Order: sequence, then structure tokens, then C-alpha cells
Amino acid sequence: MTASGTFGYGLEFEPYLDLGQLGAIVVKGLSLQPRLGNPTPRIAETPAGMLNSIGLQNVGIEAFISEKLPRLREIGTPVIANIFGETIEEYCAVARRAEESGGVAAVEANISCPNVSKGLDFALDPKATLEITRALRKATTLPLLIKLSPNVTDIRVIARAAADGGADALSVMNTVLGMAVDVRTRKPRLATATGGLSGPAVRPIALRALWQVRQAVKLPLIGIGGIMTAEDALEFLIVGATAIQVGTANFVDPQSSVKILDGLRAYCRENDVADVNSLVDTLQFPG
Amino acid sequence: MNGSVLYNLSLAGDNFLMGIFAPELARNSRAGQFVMLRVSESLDPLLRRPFSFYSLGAGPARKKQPAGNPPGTNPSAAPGIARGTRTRSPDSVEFIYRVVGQGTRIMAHMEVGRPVDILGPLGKPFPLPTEPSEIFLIAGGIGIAPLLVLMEEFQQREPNLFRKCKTTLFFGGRRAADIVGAEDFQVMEIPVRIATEDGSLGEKGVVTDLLLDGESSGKEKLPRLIYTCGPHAMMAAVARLCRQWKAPGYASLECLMGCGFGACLGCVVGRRTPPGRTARAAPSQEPGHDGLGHLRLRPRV
Ligand SMILES: Cc1cc2nc3c(=O)[nH]c(=O)nc-3n(C[C@H](O)[C@H](O)[C@H](O)COP(=O)(O)OP(=O)(O)OC[C@H]3O[C@@H](n4cnc5c(N)ncnc54)[C@H](O)[C@@H]3O)c2cc1C
Ligand SMILES: Cc1cc2nc3c(=O)[nH]c(=O)nc-3n(C[C@H](O)[C@H](O)[C@H](O)COP(=O)(O)O)c2cc1C
Ligand code: FES
Repeated sequence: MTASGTFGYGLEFEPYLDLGQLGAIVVKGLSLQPRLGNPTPRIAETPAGMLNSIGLQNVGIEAFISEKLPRLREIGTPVIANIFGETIEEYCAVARRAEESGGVAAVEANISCPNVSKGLDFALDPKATLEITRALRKATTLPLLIKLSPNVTDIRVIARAAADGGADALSVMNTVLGMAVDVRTRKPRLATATGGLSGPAVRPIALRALWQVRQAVKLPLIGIGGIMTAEDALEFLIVGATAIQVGTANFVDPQSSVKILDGLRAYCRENDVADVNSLVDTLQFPG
Repeated sequence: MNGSVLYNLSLAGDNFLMGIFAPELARNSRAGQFVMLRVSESLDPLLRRPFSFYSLGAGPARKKQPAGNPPGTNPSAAPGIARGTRTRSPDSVEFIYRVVGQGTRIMAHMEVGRPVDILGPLGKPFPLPTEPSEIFLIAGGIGIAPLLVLMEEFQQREPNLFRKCKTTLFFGGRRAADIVGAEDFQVMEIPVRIATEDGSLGEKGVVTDLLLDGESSGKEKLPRLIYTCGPHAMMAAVARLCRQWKAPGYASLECLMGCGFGACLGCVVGRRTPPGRTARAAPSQEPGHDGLGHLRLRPRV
């Protein structure tokens, strides 16, 4: 899959790859109303990663359904609507519209965006996670993915709350809150001062988060964070992800996602693995 | 797409001229477009870097062919590195770049023959002039890049119209070392007027000062058309002049870019851009955003 916010609405990538090859396209976070996003600069490169504070700029769910979804449906790849709201009601309304559109395969609730006020609230407090997951569970019959944040003291508690609330799967993880400063101007390199760190720099954090969540809940898990190559993806599968999302790598090479798929196939061939799923959750302990 | 370095010449100041063998790019790109270069195979720096084309292909036939390396070339800038000589061909593209940070520093050390990972062409091409005009090219420093390829493309595609236009390059920089590439305009017989803030080359002051006395001098008055690329403050001043003259103009804008093709939404500028659209999709009238396209500087009516 492609990670939300790094693959536009999918269509931006049509010149570069066959979207039909992807397991799913997770589109840019959708809200009830269109959003303008944050002031610029919104991105800053850091060692082996990048900070972003895009601020969930998006066309809104209605424009998405009318302008983007028809073409995405033609391609046939499952579309996962990444959704966002300021209130539980808004989240539910977006989820309902996504389901009504008939073209969305699943909903991924972004309860963990570090770049908007309220963005992270639902992922920080297990009670809030439970509440929003329950509400979304009632609002939609679509498969419900809850996207977790690493910016918490104990991600296992949040994962359990999402599971108790009725999530079908968990996406682990969103960006890591970070900051960078231009020492010449002494200004933060993002207009919002802090932003979300992504890219290879966060991969060990993502893997750790996945590992902890794996031990806490039985749900299917989607591994996300710094995956650039098939080998990176394998790390996540071995730790327990049944699927992975490719994010920042799409910016570096728009063909990353399909190259990773090719790499996984090659790995399976070379190592006599009949089904890549047989690698899931096969972490070996020394001794 | 992969290209390979043909030459990588150190110019005045921190500026460099890189020729890359990339036949497809040379044939399929247009003036004003840009590429995203991957300067390193490692994860740091991770993101690609955007660069405008300085030239595409061999360029139009010239009365005077520039012989060898441009003046100001400093062959001793990077001892021990084979830097090659400037040899444009139908298969080559050129970039002119200024070393400002990690990525451009890596570029400055690239040797001849090194493969370069290129994504492009990206962005919108410059619209060419459509009627005999008085063309003002207004460049600040490394902002010269898209203007040469524009004039070469114009001359190649519309030689008659090119001849009927009265074109001048107004070129500004902080100091003499910021003024690179002017000779490529001179061989096209485009007059160059230079302003530097420290007065070390041309007139002392900012480039827009050169334009203040800008009454049309030709016999019949041609409609004025402006193309500009440079620092935001300069382009904002140019935009003001465009409004004053009621002259249309196009600006090639720079901003921080994460991807170059509309996926990251890092390059939009200001909150004026409608939601969901990158600056490419929605050029506004305000300079100071975009990186992907060309802002139309509309005259105020
Ligand atoms: C469409 C487009 C075309 C461009 N064409 C050219 C060109 O032809 N020649 C050329 O020399 N440069 C060009 N640039 C700018 C060039 O991309 C940057 O200078 C380069 O990415 C810097 O990389 P770095 O790793 O060396 O610097 P970094 O370490 O990334 O940055 C060093 C410093 O430069 C500043 N900076 C970085 N990128 C930009 C930018 N895009 N605009 C202004 N300041 C920036 C940073 O804020 C920082 O202060 C273009 C930019 C865009 C968006
Ligand atoms: C520019 C950018 C925009 C993002 N926008 C969203 C978003 O709208 N919704 C969301 O759930 N995650 C968003 N993310 C987070 C990614 O989906 C992903 O969880 C994170 O970047 C880690 O993966 P990566 O290291 O592979 O990029 C965004 C990330 C980036 C870099
Ligand atoms: S640079 Fe990514 S959208 Fe413009």
C-alpha cells in the first residue's frame, strides 16, 4: 500500500507506475470540508528523513468522491480513505460519506496527525481512542483501520483501546514529532515550529512500535515508517505486519512501491518462500 | 531516468555548470521545466533537488560558437577531478547551479562519467512570445537558468519572430561572482545589462533600478513582455513594475520542494492556493510560491 499524504490521490503517480499493481492506495487525509493546510515552509529535510507540517491540506471528501474517485475506480485497486476530523462527529460523517460513495474499500482513521490542533488528541489518551473507534465502528461497516502515533508513552495501551473499540486493523505508525532550526536565522525550519518526522530515520522507531503493538493485540497490523526497500519491508513482515505502507520513499522515487513489490517477489523466489504471508510474525530470538 | 555527467565546470563564485548526457530529456523537455536530481545514492541527503534546465540539446545555430569553457571558468577549483570541457550536443542538457548546501556541494564534486539519477521533465513550460515584443529578461543570480533555454527555444522554434523582438537581459546579483552565463546571451546577440549591489560589475544597485529608466527606445513601440527568475524580493519588485507598465510577464518561482510532482504539498505557498491544489495547478497572482510552474504576472486593469 501507499501511505497517506505521500501518494496524493494516487493519480499524481499514474505517469510513473501501474497503479493496478498496488495492494491498495491510501489517499491523502480527507476531511469533511476542504482544508488549506499550514503556512510554508512545510517541509524540511533532516538526516535520512524529513519533517513535514502540511496540515492536512485536502480537497474535502465531496470533491474527492466526485473528482478523484471515478478514475481511481477505473484502475480497480482498492482505495483506502484516510480520514480526519476535528470532532468525533466529523470523523464519522467523513466515514459515512466514504462508505456511501461505494468506491472506498476501507477507512483509515488518522487519529495521530501531529500537525493540526486536535490532530493527535485521539491517539494520546486511551479513553479518547476507545471513544472515537467505537463511534466510527457504528458509523461505517467498511473495514476500519486506526492509525496510531508513536508520540505516546505506551503505544500498547492505545492499541488495546482501538482493538476494544472495534477496529479491524491498526496502522503503525504516523510520523514522529520533531523539530529543526536554521542556525543562521535562528528560526525553526518549519513555519509551525514542530512537524512530523518520516523516512528511514524513523524506521527503528516504527519497528519497535509495531513489535509492541503486536504483543498487545491480535488484530492485523500494517507496518509504516521509513520503508525504502524490500528488505525494509521484510523487517516489518517478520515483526508481525501483514501489510506495509510506503510513504516518504514515494517522493524520492515515485516507483518505490512497485520496486518494493518486485523486491519481495525476488526475495521469495530466491529463498523458496511460496507465500510471502508465511514470513509474517516469524521473528526468531537468539538462543 | 539515468544520465551521466559530461562536464562539471566551476564558474565564478560558488557557481557551476553541469552538462549531462540524457538524450530523452534533451528531446522531450521544454524551456522553463525542471528536473529533480538525486545527488546521492545514500539516504542522506534523502530527497531529490530541483534544478531548472539551463540548456537543452546543442542549442540553435549561432554566428559565434563559444569556444571551449566559458570565461571565468576556474579549472583549478577542484584539483584532481576531471571536469571535462563544455561540449553541447543534441543529447545533452545543462544545469547551472550554485553551491548552497549539502546537496549542491555533492554535485560540485561529481566527476565526468558519473551516472545521475534524474526525474523529469517536470513543471510547466514557459509560454513563448506570440507577437513582436520588447522582451525584458530579468534575472537575479542563478535565476538566469531558465531564461537561456527560453531564448534558445524561442530562437529555434520561431526564428522570424525572435528577430522581430527586441530582447534585453537585465541581470542582477550581489557581487560580480553572481553574474554567470551572461556570455551565452551575448552570443545570441541579446544585450546584457548588469547591476550588482556592491558595484563590482555593471551598475551599482539592484537590477530593478536598471528598469526604472525603461522607456521603450525603439522606433515603433512594441508591447512589453517580461520573463523573470530570481530571489522572491526581486520578483515581487518585477511584478510591481509589470502592473505599472500594464505588461504581462511570467515568473519562474522557486520554493522548497519535496517531490516535484504534486504529491507532497510541500511546495504550495501562502494560504491563497486553493485547497488540494499545488501551486502548479493553481498559479496565483502573488509571486512567492510555486516552483513548478510559471506565474502569470498580469497587468492590473
Ligand atoms: C523549480 C526549481 C528550480 C531550481 N533551479 C535551480 C537552478 O537552476 N540552479 C540552482 O542553483 N538552484 C536551483 N534551484 C534551487 C536548488 O534546488 C536549491 O538550491 C538546492 O536544492 C539546494 O540543495 P542543497 O542540498 O545544496 O541545500 P540545502 O542544504 O537543502 O539548503 C541550503 C540552504 O539553501 C536554502 N534552499 C534550499 N532549497 C532552496 C530553494 N529551492 N530555494 C531557495 N532556497 C533554498 C535552504 O533553505 C538552506 O538555507 C531550483 C529550485 C526550484 C524549486
Ligand atoms: C508529506 C507527508 C504528508 C502526510 N500526510 C498524512 C495524512 O494526511 N494522513 C496520515 O494519516 N498520514 C500522513 N502522513 C504520514 C505517513 O502516512 C506515514 O505514516 C509516515 O510518513 C511514516 O512513513 P514513511 O516514513 O514511510 O513516510 C504524511 C507524511 C508525509 C511525509
Ligand atoms: S514539491 Fe511535492 S507537491 Fe510540489
